[in-house]
Parts: sequence; C-alpha cells; structure tokens
Amino acid sequence: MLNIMRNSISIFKTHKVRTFLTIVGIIIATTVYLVVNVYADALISTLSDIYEGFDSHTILIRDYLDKNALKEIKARYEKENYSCFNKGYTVNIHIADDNVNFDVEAELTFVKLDFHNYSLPSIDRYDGTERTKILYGRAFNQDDLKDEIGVTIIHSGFAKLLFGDNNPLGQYIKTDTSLPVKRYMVVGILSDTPDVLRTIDTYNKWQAGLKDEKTPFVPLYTPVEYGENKWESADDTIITFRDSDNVLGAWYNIRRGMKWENAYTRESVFNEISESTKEFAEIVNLIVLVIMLTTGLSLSIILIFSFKERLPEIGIKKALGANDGVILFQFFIENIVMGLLGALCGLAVGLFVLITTAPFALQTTVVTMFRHITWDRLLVPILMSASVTSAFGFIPSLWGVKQNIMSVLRYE
Amino acid sequence: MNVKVENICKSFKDKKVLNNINLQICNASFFGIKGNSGCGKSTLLNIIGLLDKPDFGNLYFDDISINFKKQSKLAFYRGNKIGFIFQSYNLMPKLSVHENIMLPFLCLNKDRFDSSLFDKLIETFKIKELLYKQSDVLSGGEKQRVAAARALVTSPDLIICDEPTGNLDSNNARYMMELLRDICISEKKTIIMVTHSNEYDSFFDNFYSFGETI
Repeated sequence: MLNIMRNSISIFKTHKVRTFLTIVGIIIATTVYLVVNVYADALISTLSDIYEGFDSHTILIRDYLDKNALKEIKARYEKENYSCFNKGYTVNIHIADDNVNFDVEAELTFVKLDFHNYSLPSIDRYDGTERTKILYGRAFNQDDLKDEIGVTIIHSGFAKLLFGDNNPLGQYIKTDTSLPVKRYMVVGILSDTPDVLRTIDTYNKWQAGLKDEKTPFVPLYTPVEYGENKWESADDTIITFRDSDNVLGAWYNIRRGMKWENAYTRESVFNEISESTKEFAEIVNLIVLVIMLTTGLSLSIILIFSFKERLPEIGIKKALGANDGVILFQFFIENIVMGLLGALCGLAVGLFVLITTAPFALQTTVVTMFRHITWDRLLVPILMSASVTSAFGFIPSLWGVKQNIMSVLRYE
Repeated sequence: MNVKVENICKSFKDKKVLNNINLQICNASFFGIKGNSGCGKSTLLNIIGLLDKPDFGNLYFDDISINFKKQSKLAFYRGNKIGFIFQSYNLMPKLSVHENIMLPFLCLNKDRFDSSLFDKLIETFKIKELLYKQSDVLSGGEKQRVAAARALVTSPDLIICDEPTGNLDSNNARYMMELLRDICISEKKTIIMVTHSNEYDSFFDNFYSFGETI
C-alpha cells in the first residue's frame, strides 16, 4: 500500500497540470466549505450564548420603522461591541411611575424617578455599551448578589447631586419604592452620558422652581446574574437597541399581553437568526457541491485525455503481471491521494483564512472561532474530496484498463 | 520452463501472419526466433509471452495448456513466470531506476522481493550508480540493462526478449547477449529472443527462423 501511494505521488510529477488543476478545484471547495460553516456555527453559537442568559422576562425590541433611529443603531452597533452579546452580570433598570425619594445620609429628597433606559447587560462592558467608563470604584461581582445590602453604580453627575464633593463610594442610597433592596451602597461611578447631563439640567430647573416638560430620570444600576432565576426579585429587563418611548411602550404592551409587532422574544429572535444562518450555510454548501462536481467532471475529462497518454504505462504494468483490478486499484489510490492532498491543502488555507479574519469578524476571536472547528467540519471535506476524485476518476480508469494490452503497449 | 507451441495461427485482418507454427523449447535453453521485418516473429513472441492470443493453436508451459480466455491466469503467468525485455525498453520515464526495477512488485500487489537477488542484478548489470537517476536521462545501453534487471527481479522461469539489442551499439549489444547467455546457463532460465540479425547465432542453443528451422 505504501509503495502504491509512493508510486501515486511519483506519477503526479508526470502529470503536473492535471494534478494541479484538480487540487486547485478541491482547495477552493474545501476552503469555502470550512470557512462558511465555521462562521455559521460561530454565529449560531454566539446567538445561543446570548439568549442562554435570558429568560422569559427578557424581550428584544427592534424598531426599525424610524430610519434615523436605524442609522443611529447601526452606527452604535458598528462602533461599539454591543454588550448584550456578552455573558456576565446584567443590570436592572428600575421603572417607577410614582415619586421615589432617595434618602442619602442627610435625607436628601430627590425628584420623581420616572426613567427608562436601555439596559447594560454586562457590567464589564459599561464603557462599550453606553460610551461611558467606570471612572472609579469597581464593577459588580458575584458577592454583590449574595450581600444583603445591595450595591449600585451611578453616574458621576448623579453622584455629585447626591453627595456633593464627598466621595460617593461607600455611601448609601435609599429608595421608598418596591425595589428588591431599598438600601444600596455605591461601589462604582460611571462617567456621564448626554442623558445624565440633561437630567441634571432638568433637576436644577426643578430645584429653581422652573417648570420643565421633561421629568428628570436617573438610572440606578444594580446587579443581577443571568440564568440565576433572580428575575422574580427584579423588574423586567428590556434589552433593546434604542432608548425611546417605544421600549417602555413595548414593555407595557407586552405586560398587558398585547402583541407588539416589533418586539421579539428570545426564542423568536434566535430562531429567526439561526434559520437565516442555516439557509445561508445551505446555499454556500450547495455552491461548494457545485464546485466539487465541476472539479470532478473536469477531473474526468482531464483523466480521459491523460489516460491516452498513460496507455503505455498501463501496457507496461499489464506486461509485468498487473491484472485489471490491480491497475484500477492503483488509479483509485492515486485519485484518493490527489483528493486528500487537495483537501488537506484546502483545510490549511481555510484555517489560515479563519485565523486571519476572526479578529475582524463580529463577536469572534481566534479562540472562539477554533471552538467551532470540529472534527466533522474537517472530516466532511476530506471524505467529500476523496469521494469526488475517486468516483469521477473511476470511469476513465476503467476505460484505460480495458484496452487491449498490445494496442496500449504500441500506443504512441 | 519447457515451452511448447502447437499449430499456432494468427491473422491481422486478411493477412495471415502465423500459420501452424510448432516449436519445442527446452528448459534452460537460449532460443532465438529470427526473421525479416514483418514476418511475424514479434507476434509469435507476444503470443508466447501471453501479451497476445492466437486465433488457433495451443501453448504449453511445462506441459500445462494455457487458456487464453482466463485473463487473471494470464496476468499471473506474466507476473510470476515470465520476464519481458522489450526493444524500446518500456521503462516509466519519470520514475527512477530503482522504482522501475521494483515496478513488477507494485503490479503484483504483493511483496516477494528478494533483496539478495536485487543486489546481484544491479551488480551484474552494473547499474548501482544509476539507481536513483530518473530513467529518461539514461543512455540506450543503460536503459536496456535496467529493463533486463526489471525482467529478472521476480526470478521468472521464462525470459522473453524482443530484439533487446535493436537499439544498442555493437559493444553494448554484445555485452547484453553475453549477460543473457550467462543468466541462461547460471540461473537455468529459459530465454526466448527475437532478432533479425544473424550476428548472435552463436549465443543460441537453438533457434527458429521464419522459413527454415535449424
């Protein structure tokens, strides 16, 4: 067997063009197959990871009716690594219709709390989500979930309103609403967003007795972990691409059991995206199949011509005692070796493409990409290539070995 | 190996090339088949070498009748009992000398390689220096020596030579004849050789000449 394989490789030297063309076809098909399928797997898996952390309280709002909003979403989405794609700690957004008093040390009475905001699913990605950074203090951790005293992270401007020039870290905020924990210790301070600055401005106007159409609202971030069934102690979490009344509207409507056409549940979004991804992968796999078949047909045609050149070789082998089966087997091995070489080269090219493109792909790194390079993704193109070359090489091989021994020996 | 040819006839279209040929070739003899070009000597050799089949007649190896319809049996004889040395060498041009000599084992798809015989052959045919050269860069004499080594590497009982000196100069031709003669005597091989020349008559134990038998 080893001799036959060695002989096959020696034969490739004699038929360089045929071997090259066949191998190039297989390399293209194998590369496309590997890259597309691994990317599709990675995307589906990423989506699975995202939605795994959600529960039935979670909804995704996708209101694309407003073109400007869509542009904004797209800009934000491209610019920032949207954090709802990261597992970790999420943040409750407390929504209250009633006045909420914040009791801070000297019993500072705060304004009406009536805010809505998009959530920050991963505290580690504050800076990526709201274009804000943790200026000082810390992010949430696992212990924060266990502590009887709740912790919170607030914006810098809000901290200044509450605590003046004092260090807000370690200070307490109390609320008189039905929030799960009424006393929160400040552990981190975020930089201000435009919304926060507007809130402070509104607050100052209210304090000065100036009426303002807007109600000041302040986000108060508290931690909750994905998948820990702690949602019953928190308000509903809304994961959305935009912060607008639509979010709140969607939330109210969904709570009232009404249909909201632009609101999607975890399942519906995941199914929709994974189906689209699968359809895309299927189309590409069909293209790969066409490339493979074209390569196979080309191989067949090339082999028929090359077999005319190889008739003396067949004659010599027959004269030396090879029967039809042995010659067919040798050609079979030769074609398989060619297919395997092409597939291995294609996999190498595919892996190179994946490694070089992974850092630029959405939500993908080289490490996470490699998780999706499974054995079946490697074995399928190898088996497919070997099958195509052996199947399409068989008929020309059969034609060659059935020639009369004297006529093939004399063939010029 | 004793070879018996009995009433062999062969025609190509309307031309009758062989007409009731009868031969008896004894074991371990150097037998020549002579004749002018186109007389049918190569056709006869090809039939004896099982590369071609006769229209009529029988062929016996050691009194065993050869059935030309059984392709697998013919392939067995060609691989195990017969060695071929062709006028045009029939080497695989892109393979090395070593690979060419080993080609019969690849064709038989089994390993009965005898390394001592191999060493002896490359010594005898003086091709040790050529072993890893590609065969298409060899001279005619070298190619013929490689072809002879390939024919003998499976230790066949019958060696078929189709004008092995046809493409060689006189020195190389005589050297080849001497080698074949030595092998016939020392290894007790039956050698059947086709030639159109009378120059080598002295090497043959017996020969068949189209037109007369000596």
